[in-house]
Amino acid sequence: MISLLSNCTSGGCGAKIGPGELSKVLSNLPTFCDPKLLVGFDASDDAAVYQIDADTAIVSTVDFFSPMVNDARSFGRIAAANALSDVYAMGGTPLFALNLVCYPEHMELDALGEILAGGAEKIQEAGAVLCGGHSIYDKEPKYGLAVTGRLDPKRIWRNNTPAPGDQLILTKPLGIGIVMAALRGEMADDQTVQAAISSMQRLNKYAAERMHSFPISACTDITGFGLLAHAREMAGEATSLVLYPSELPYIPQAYKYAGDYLITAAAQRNRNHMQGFVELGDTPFPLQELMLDPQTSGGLFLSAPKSYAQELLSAIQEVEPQARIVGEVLLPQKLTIILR
Amino acid sequence: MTQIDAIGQVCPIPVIRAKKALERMGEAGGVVAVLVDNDIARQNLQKMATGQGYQSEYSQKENGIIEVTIVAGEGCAVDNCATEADSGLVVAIGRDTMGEGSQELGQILIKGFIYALQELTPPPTHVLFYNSGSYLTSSDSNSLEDLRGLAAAGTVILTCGTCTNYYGITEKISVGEIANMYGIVTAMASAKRIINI
Amino acid sequence: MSYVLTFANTHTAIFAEKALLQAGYSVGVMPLPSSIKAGCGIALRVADYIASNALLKENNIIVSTIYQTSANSLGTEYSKVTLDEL
Repeated sequence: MISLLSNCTSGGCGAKIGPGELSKVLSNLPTFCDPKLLVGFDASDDAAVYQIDADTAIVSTVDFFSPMVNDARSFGRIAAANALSDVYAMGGTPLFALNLVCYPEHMELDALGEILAGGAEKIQEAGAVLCGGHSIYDKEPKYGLAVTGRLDPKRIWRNNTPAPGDQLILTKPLGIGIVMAALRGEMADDQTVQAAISSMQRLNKYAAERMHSFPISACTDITGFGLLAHAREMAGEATSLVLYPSELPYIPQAYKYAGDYLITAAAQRNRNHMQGFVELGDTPFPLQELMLDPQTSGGLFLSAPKSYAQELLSAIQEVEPQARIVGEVLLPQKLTIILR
Repeated sequence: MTQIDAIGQVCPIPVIRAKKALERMGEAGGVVAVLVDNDIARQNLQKMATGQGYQSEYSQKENGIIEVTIVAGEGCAVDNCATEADSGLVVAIGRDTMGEGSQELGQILIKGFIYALQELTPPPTHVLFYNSGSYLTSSDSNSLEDLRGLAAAGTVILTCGTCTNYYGITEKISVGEIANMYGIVTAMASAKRIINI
Repeated sequence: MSYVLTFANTHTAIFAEKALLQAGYSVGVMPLPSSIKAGCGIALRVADYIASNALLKENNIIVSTIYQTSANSLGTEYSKVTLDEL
């Protein structure tokens, strides 16, 4: 079996352009103005939402990256799950997907077949259809999807509308980036790597389905920007978020790997980006790194009224046993993110 | 000093390599110099160094290359630690004897003195020889081995050219360089401490 | 040079250095190491202690003690050498 990783620089969501650099570039684009665009990229939300009529809006999102694991089929599954995740994070249902493929000319096509098979598995699991795609030659393999879904415009889960008094829930454990870094450094044990792969392959569909029976103030999925950056996005201008570092779910060995400095470049970029918005204080170094760790196909991070939070958590835990209440929402404080 | 070329390598590889090299140095410590091609890798290296209790600094090289130097324990290779552990000590030796009184005693004393000098850590930045002190750097000197040891440790050894000329021993100077009065004055003026023999 | 000669007084050390140099031996002068006791604060380093000692005896110069040096990570250690004739 060929090594997918040999050509790759930094796979997965570790490869995202840093949030600071990205926003600099995006701020120079013309602002588009269409009242039917319910959610655009001015709020850096997970996906775009466009209204069709009173009851229907389309959700559209795109995601792709280079491999972070050696197994082609796992890579395909992870990339697809990652792309589909944004639709779930908005409260939508995926309808159909298009493949995005880059592949080296000299590489055996069997591996590409495996990647696409993995992607197709997840699209099918999501109840959506695969209806085409685009592929080009590139010196590095890359795979992902453009996904279209539907959403009730009255029930959009925006990412920056938490209410003071809410509690915050994280559905999947952190540490994916750290485990992948340890893997690159040939210092990760198989069991931990499997745990990470299994988490990345899991669709957020099941957690989202449980969430639909509860009032949700805000929801996003954790990506390569790490938990803290997404928490900052969620807090927006109107609130501050408190996080409990000791309550965060994480892949157990990731704590040790972080302590051994098996960390990513992306986490350092994320750390730089968070300067001034959070005081890390004497939070143990491994927990700091876990909060900054880039996740690939990460879990859902949501804000829900306190009175429902416990029941909601129990419902989510039926399908995501590691989900936890990890914080709460306050009126705006001096710091956007407070660690307790 | 261990040199690591981590250009083109993605985190955590540069950090892992540096950390392993530092661990291999053990109690004695040492210096590790890592070349990376991006500032984020530099930040991660310094983060690791600080976390492990080491000193670190970096310098920008050409073509976007950054060199990160990490120092562990006591084992500073002197040529790399000159800026951090500089003694600032200048020794000026104006004769080939130490003290006044007996000539032969003075001659043996200065040899012992020079031997003890080369045992100093950190070593003196400069040792300056003038007047009859110039004989001590000439080929007839019994202190050449010790002075060469000092030079190898990074000490600059200067002998006054006017003096070697006067005594006719310019060609016989066997360690360090010939300097003029400006060189000697500059060395003395920039010293933190001066010993005058 | 791995041997150190010590002397009872400075005059002896001075004579010893002169005699060895005149005979063509390479001699190093060093302050007496703090871990050794001797009458004189100056000691001489030589490579071949047997030949050096023999030459000094010929010149009626008495060596107090001969030490062998060995370097390790803690510094230099000096261990006494005994000669049958000493």
